[in-house]
Amino acid sequence: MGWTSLNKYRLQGTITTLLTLDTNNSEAGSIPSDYTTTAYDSETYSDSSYTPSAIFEGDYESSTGSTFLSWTASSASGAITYQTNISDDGINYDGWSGEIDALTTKETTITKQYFKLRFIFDPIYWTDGDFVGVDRIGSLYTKFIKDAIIDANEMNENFYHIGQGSMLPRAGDNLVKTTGVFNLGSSTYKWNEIHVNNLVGVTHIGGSMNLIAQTTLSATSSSIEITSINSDDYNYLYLYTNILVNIGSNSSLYMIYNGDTDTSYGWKNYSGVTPRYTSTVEQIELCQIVGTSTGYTPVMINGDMFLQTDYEKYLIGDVSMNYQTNTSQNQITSVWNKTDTTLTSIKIYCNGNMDVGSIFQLWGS
Amino acid sequence: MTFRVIRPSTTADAADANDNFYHIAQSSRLPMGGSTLEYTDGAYNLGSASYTWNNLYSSSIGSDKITGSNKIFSIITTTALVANTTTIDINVNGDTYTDFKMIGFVRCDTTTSIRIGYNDDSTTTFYKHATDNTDNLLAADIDTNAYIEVAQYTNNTTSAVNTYFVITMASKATLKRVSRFRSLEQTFEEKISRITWGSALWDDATTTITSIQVYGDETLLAGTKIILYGQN
Repeated sequence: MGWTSLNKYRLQGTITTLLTLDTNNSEAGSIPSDYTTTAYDSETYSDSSYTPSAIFEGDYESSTGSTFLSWTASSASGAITYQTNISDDGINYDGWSGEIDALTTKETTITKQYFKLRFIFDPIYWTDGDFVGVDRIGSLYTKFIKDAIIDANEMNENFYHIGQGSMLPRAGDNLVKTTGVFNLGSSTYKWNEIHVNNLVGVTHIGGSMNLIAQTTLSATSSSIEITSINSDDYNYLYLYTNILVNIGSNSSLYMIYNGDTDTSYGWKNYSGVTPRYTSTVEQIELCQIVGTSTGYTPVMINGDMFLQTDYEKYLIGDVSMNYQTNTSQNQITSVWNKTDTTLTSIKIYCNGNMDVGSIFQLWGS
Repeated sequence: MTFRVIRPSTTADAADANDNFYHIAQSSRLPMGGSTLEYTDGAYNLGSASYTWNNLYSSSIGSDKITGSNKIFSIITTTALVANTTTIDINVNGDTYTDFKMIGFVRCDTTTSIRIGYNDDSTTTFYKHATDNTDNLLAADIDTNAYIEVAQYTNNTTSAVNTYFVITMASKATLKRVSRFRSLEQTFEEKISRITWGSALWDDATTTITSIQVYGDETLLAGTKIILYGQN
């Protein structure tokens, strides 16, 4: 076990401490015969005129079938890359991986017992202070066996496995990494504060407004709709649209819930002149659209919605429109007088077309 | 599995050592404390102000409060009346937020005027300018009161009145507390009788907001619901 077949071309030092550049090649290393890169073999840079500034290669056999490897590397102006080549038996290898930047990625997991490792120093851009060194190589996790002596190194590795670096969700006897299964804290046992620079990939923050659904038209349509909502999942909802409407003659933009066309709606809107309102109708009129054959009217709607099952369901919002060079706006309010219905869908429609790219978003808290 | 304390100068069972690792690292990571690493609630942090995690990858975050340089509106409290009352009083420290956003659904028996006050201040230091309309009548409404009137009377004495309002309020002392509100009144079934758009000012730039009152000229009925968000 351990490192064998070390090849240090223009490098000095040890892989487990530090390898630094050595233009005298005192370790008598050579460029591996099977080492090739696109640039190295290209017509522009031939073998004779373009070689890596330095290269390390070594073989390693671990005590288990998987190994964690991390290193320290530095290059002030250039690049250091690494490659691995893994094997189950130390004889038949899978082939070298592609070169990966060893300055930004400084750890990897080897999934087989035997592996070869290379560090390649950039052919052109390098400085005298460039270095690389493996600072940790060990098993991923050792499950202890009764009546067997535990090697101190195994104990240390186990602590490193769970305590060092990024804290990852783990499971099973070997504490392997998992994704999307386990939680940090629980509703009963909560962490107090979380100090973190970035939240990544989070689609829901409890208690805050989150985008819960979005529809973007990929083809012209007379309507745009969001479905599969459960309004009881949210304290209140916020509606946002930016839709492009084209109708032949003056008409209106409408909205209905759950496909309901009963006379269960009332609405009132105001655009700076006499308010318009009606009650006991089959739909909500969001705004009036000027008919045109020359193009689309963008319509932006922002609305606060209160839509829980046991309540009358309300919208208070603003509508802004641009017809050619004219801008208009109106305030819209509406009620859907159904106090025993859970809202599941919202549909906005017109007597014409909505253009590709029209967006309908629903946010919820 | 529970955590087992391994005694000095004794032979440790391999199973105990395994279990201890599993207790710490297996499945959901829960905050633990004490010599036997019992689960705790709300006592420990992930990271600290000096030592922060870099990225948190999660599909969902359940949290009562989010602070930091990037501002997020998060819920402060929800009040749902199960019995009639005259006033909903919400205790809050306005200086820990820059803005409040309140969503209100109010049930009343007949006529209603929905009002919002701060700190039980009964002086006439609230200035309001609103536009409202009843049916097709339009009116400007300018007044000075001991409250912000986010929804006014609709002259209705025969049926229940529901009011839905949304108000955004500057909350932090040192700046005068301006607010913007919108409301509707539903007087019966599918009819919206009045809508109101307005702004208001609490002419006090120094006093910390410690409470917000929601009340009306009529009793607030069971079923009334107030949701308060804060941006910090």
